[in-house]
Amino acid sequence: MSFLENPDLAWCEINETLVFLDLSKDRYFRLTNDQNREALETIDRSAFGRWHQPAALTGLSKWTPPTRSSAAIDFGSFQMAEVARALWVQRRVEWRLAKQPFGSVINDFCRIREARTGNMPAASNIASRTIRGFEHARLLRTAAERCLARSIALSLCLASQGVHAHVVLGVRLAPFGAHCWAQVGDEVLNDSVEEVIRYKPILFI
Amino acid sequence: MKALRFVLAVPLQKPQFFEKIEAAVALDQVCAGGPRLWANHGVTIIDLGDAGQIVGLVFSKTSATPLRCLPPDAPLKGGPAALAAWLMRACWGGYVALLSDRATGRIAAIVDPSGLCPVYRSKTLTHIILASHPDLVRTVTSAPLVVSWQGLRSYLLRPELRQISTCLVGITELPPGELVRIDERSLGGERIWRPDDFMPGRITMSFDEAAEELRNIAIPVIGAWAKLLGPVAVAASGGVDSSFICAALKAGDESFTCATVSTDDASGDERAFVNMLGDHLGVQTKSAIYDPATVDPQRGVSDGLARPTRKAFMAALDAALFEAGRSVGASVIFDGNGGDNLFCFLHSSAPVVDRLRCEGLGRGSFLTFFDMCRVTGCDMPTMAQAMIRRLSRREFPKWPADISLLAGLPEVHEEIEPLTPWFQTDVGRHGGKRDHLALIMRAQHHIHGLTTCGLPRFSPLMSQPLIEFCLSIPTWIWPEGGINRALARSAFATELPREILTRTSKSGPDSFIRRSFDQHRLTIRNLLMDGLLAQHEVIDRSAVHDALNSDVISGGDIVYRLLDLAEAEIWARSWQN
Repeated sequence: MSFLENPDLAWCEINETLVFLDLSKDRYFRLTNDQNREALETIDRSAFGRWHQPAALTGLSKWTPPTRSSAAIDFGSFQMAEVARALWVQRRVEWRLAKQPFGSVINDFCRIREARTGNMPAASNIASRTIRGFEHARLLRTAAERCLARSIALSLCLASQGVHAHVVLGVRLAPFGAHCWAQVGDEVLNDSVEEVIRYKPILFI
Repeated sequence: MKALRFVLAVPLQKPQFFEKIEAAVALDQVCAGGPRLWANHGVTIIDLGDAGQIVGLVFSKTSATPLRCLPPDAPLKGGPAALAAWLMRACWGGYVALLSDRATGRIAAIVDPSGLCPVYRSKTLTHIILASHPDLVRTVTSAPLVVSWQGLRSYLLRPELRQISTCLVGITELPPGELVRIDERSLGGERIWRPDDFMPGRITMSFDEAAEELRNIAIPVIGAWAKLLGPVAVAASGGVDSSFICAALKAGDESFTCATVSTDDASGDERAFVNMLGDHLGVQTKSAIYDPATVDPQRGVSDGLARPTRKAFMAALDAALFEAGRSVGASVIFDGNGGDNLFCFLHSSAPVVDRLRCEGLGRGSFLTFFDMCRVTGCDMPTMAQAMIRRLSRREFPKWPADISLLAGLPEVHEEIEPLTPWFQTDVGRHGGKRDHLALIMRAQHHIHGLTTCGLPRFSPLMSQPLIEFCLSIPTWIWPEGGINRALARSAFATELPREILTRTSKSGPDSFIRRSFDQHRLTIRNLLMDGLLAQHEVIDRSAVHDALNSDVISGGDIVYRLLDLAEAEIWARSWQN
């Protein structure tokens, strides 16, 4: 079970099944039943928890279960400038995700966010306009299968407004699915609460 | 609620003089002498004198009260066609009218259009048999029923399309809304109830008017069923359809309980929403967890049916709902089955194209365009392309076939005969209404009617007045505001909590079903690889063998197909035995 020492590995457990995310190889994976049992035993005996992510990232313990969605998702006027910015940043993030390893994109994202973030609340007018801009941008570029790029892009845009937003990657099993959303405290910024609570967070950025 | 069970035997030989339908005391007396009707104790029968009998529950459209006899304006002496037309116009419910023609001495039957009272037809050397359940045909004829392998293959090819033929040799289903003569030849009949009569007109209601009207229809209709079949528990999921039923019952001052069944993981747990609904409406909520022990892959849930239409995991749902219902003293469990279909949950450009064709290019069409982008989650270029494809389409696409895991050639030579031939409906400029009708047809296998045996479940949303009203609403009204089934949400906006009204996604027992499949994989393998379906070349053994190795977590929907095949296998064995 030496692979558990891999610094790029994140994992979580759902109904006694471990799901792994290898940031260096851009992939999720599972173990065979026997390996899974062995890995759980190893983890339970070690300092690792059943919920684990690379030390370089914000600890999962800081994650708050979502209880509400941003009001800005449903209300607000159409602002062309915000929509254009949302699309531009999203396309750039998509391009980077396609060209570079996920781990590298995350590192850059964290660096930029830390450099820009202030203490602005997500409910401020300026942040609401950005969130609304991303909602309207769905009409021009579908959000389907693009949750990761959208969430990173939204967090980057919010960081430039002084808002510190987290990106959460979640997984579910039977059938396997992965999802991503942006979150501040217990507030989801670009999805419904009922949708995101079906996923168990595996990475909290 | 006790299942409605009846059987009618009509001699093949043309009578020399008019004979009334007589009551048979016992099942073995049905096939003797003239036309005879047997019904189980407690079944409502309206005696029309020489005009015939109505078996089942009939309500007046004007008052929503149950009828014990027909009012004076019913044309009892006008012949079967006139009386059938009057019934379709003035009444609703779950019934079959057996109408005698004095002039010819023949009997004709019409099943109400809701599909809540399915009726099957069979023929012996001496009689035509109409029955609520295939096993009654077997009992009165003392002949075994045989599985039709061709019928079963046809069903598995299009499992969402209810056809006139069943999966049993010699058993067909009477098309709802059609007046069928009970003689040697007639399988189909004269269409008395036609969806054409309920298509949107030139002047349509506004959204608010339509929501108000839907509410005004739903409260008495759902309340009428509750009064007659209750005490009621509602199988609530916190979604739009079951919440609609709860709200209608509440608004009609009917008492009921909510019951919900969840998976033990978050992916199928809706208790929070159901509790919220129950608290908001001030009703008791019972919740249960799907119990893997209640799933026995060797025991089917479609036994006794004419087709293996029920889903394998339903045993767990049935058991949990039954327990929840029993604990609160409910005698029937209402479910929201058919709601997505009735409330026109379309996921296409149909509403935009309909509005464009009816109103021309204008603000309304643009609004619907944006609404459908929001409902479907697609962007504007994709929606525009879908519109162009739809506008240039010459004919409605054929009902899709699922050839996966089936043996034999693709379905090119298969003839299909839908139970309700609604594709021929004149929809005028409202092309999307064909999609709406197809949606309702898709629900026909999944609704629970008055003949449902075992767990007393009932699907009140498929009641005739609701179907007629929902058909009359243009497709673009339903997604107004960019949310699916908006009209149904708005109809009970005052009764339901905001979180329920704005809910657009719903979870399900996916994880439970997949885990059950994994747990019973070996049994399912044995069932299918050495079973009747393989023996009769209904399934492709090698494809099934490969599919059985699918990983339940990363594998796609093939697990559901395998479970359907396993259910079909058990169903076939049940008739074989």
